[in-house]
Amino acid sequence: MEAILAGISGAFDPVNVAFVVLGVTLGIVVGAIPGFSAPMAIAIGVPLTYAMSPVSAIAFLLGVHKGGEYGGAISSILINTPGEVSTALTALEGYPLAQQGKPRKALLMSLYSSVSGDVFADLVLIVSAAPLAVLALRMGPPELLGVLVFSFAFIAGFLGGSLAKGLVALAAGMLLATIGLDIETGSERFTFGVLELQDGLPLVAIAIGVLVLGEVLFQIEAYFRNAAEDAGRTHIELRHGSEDRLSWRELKSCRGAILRGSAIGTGIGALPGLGASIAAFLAYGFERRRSGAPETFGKGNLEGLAAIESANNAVIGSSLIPLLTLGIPGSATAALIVGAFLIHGITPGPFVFRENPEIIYGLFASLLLANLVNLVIGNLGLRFFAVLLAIPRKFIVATAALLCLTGAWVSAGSMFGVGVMLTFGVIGYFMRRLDYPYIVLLIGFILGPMFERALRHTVILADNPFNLAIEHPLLPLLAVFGGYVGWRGTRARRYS
Amino acid sequence: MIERVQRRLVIAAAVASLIALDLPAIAYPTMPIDLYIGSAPSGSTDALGRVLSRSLEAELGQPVVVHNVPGAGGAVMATRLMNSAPDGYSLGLTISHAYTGNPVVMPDVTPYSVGDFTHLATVSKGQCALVTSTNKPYRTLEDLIAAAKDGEQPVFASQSPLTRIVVDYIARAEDIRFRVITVQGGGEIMQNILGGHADFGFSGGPHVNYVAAGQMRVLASVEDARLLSSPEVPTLKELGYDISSCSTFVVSAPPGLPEAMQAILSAALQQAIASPAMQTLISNLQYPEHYLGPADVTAALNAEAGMLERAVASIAGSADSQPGDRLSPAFMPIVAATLGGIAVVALCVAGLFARQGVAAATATRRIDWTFVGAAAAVMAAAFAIMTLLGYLPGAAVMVAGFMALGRASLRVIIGSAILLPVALWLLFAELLGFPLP
Repeated sequence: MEAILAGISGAFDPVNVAFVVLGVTLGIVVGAIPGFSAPMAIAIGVPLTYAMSPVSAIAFLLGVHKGGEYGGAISSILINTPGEVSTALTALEGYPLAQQGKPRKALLMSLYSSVSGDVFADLVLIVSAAPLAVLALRMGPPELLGVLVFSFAFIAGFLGGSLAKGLVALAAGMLLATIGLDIETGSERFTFGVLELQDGLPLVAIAIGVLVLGEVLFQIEAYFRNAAEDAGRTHIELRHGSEDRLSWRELKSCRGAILRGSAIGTGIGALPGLGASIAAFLAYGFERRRSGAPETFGKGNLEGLAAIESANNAVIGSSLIPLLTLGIPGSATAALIVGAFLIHGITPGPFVFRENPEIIYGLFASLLLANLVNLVIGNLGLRFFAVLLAIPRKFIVATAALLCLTGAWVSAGSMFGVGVMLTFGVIGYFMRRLDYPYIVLLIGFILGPMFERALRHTVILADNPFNLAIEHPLLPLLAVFGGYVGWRGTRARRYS
Repeated sequence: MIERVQRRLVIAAAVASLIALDLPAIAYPTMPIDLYIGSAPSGSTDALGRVLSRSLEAELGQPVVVHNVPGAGGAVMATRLMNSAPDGYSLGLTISHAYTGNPVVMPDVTPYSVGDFTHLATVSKGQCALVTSTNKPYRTLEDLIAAAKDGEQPVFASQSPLTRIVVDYIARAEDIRFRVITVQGGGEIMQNILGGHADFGFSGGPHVNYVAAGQMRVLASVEDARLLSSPEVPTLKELGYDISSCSTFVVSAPPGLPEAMQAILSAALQQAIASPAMQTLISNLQYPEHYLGPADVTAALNAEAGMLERAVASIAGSADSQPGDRLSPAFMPIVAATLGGIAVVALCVAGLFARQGVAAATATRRIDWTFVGAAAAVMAAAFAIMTLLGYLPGAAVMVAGFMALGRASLRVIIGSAILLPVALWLLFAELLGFPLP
């Protein structure tokens, strides 16, 4: 009990609050830059946290994450330049509203839905994490294997775009993760005698390269070919017209959509793997099918927007559930946050509730605090963020490139990390150009080794497969269920 | 960076000439000293290093700057240390296994051995033990071995080849078999033991609180001496197994460090280690005091290396202590490559149907190779310049290059190439305190 109170009061320490505010602001700003998204903001943010205390570091990153999701909505709604799948849906519903002269309405609906989704998911996390952690301690290698098999099937089923390209990205990620010393036998895999590769490729360097530098190169190329659309500045006006307000009644009428979006986001985000993009997609589809007027979707439907935004943000909190209980991240961004945890000496997993309970409760309090900060800053800063979009993009892009360089050096401590980052920047560029899903590369890189270890441990521990299935029923159950879900997902996509 | 190295060489030459003149005192240290820590930030090695750096500053009167150089259990840092100038301004802190274990277990990639350094002091040592859960029926190590002889194959949770060496040795000696799962870090070992998935495991220290709470039990000490926290439990050597596998924390310098500097440094280290700040940290970590001066450290490390060599030699060829691991390390790469290969083939086949052929998988026609080449050149140049000349020039090259590719005006290129790197340098190096090259 003492630890809980200590943790909560620590979260309201002025320094911690300052970091949360900083994080949310940074997240909104970076997310608002066209083409940039929350995962990129976090990739840049992780090296910045080295100097912070563990709770502040995680609170900062979570603030960046929450702010980043909302920031992505800003550029999607105002100038129709989404950074990823989830924000593409926001643009679909939000941009028409802006074109109809109601940008502020769309932005405020987005903000309130986002915060609602956040609060919902965070409360679920807080209530369920500790009991789940106790349960999770009993999950051994076979059960973890089941969870991961399910995740892979889920990912395969819901990959956007070409399934084959997604699988190539996934396989590439998994292959890259095998570089290094094999943990079981100590033998070398693909290290070519390079000492630095013994620990494998550094995740943060890869993330910064693929997510941010790849985007930078992609955008510079547009200027190179003189194909950039806004070579100059963009003027966005947020008028004070009476139609451009969000009335209480309008907000209330969307409360069902918000609730449903939050629930879907929380549920999906808790599954390890590809939470974020899928949650918004599913919430939107569900809302549209439920709606009495599906033809109004795509033309500025507030309920659709509410569902998307609440699902998007709910994923953030719920992706911490598998992270804190099993140590398995619920999304690529959560994986980056794992990296931050490890740097600060905390091994996420059921253990962390016993070892560092004050950190967990400090984290919970910081999450709720971040939601409040997000609401306040998002509201007050509307006009400011619109102005931000008018900064010539070349400066933003160049700054982002420098942040990559600096962040890679800081996180790796040597030019090796910088070299890895640059290489993966090129890879990220090619993936964007050739329509390969780069997030899936990261997911494969992160989940691959977990899958391998769970599988090898299961094989070591098991005497024979039949005993295994009887003693650990969760494994075959999850595998079959995963196969079913994946198959349904593939079929649904084909018909959508 | 180059300037610093040159400056140090000049100072080293000056000092050397002074020593040659047999003058009694030397001006050392006159510059900040770099302390390289062979682990990532956070963790006991890092904590010890940071507190040590502050205590050492007080003794030497010069700042001691901490740099984390993680990788290969301390071997990356050790390699860098070995190649640094022996001018008294580079020190390294890591676990002893980096010097004694890595060359023995991974000789092909470890370009050094114990004798390739000037070892100055040990700071403390770990508290390594074989532990089990109180829910398991094993009260002593003998119980476990008896169960193994009965046909059970107890599961052992290990962290690295150097922690499982102990169990392989016992298995060889007793002609029994264990099943070994290797997990990442002490936290996961605790998790596996508490969750009942492993019968016993290797702990470097985190078990102490669980033993006190009655949830875990120590089966044996893996040290040369009994554990401070469990003095009633015998060591492996007492039980008849001539092996121990626990690390000390060692401060070292590059080979060939002049005697005068060695004397100054080891005296300062002895005082720093005995300082209240260090002693408090060591007892918080539940480690014992364990100071050895330069004369004894090298001897201790050599003994440790010799013991590990013997152990490795005696268990050579005992792949049978690892039954059941039918999946070789090649399994995962093969699976991933096959998956990717099938997908690529599928893409090409689909492309054939749409009459695009292989291009469907690569769509190479859409790529502007001029841009790719130019961008790659910019990045390579920035990398080279950052390595040779430091952060600011490298960053400037990168910004200038990208701005130029983006067809910005000359004024903008030059302006941003100057302003942006400086701004970021101020943010990271000055405000946040990260050392940039």
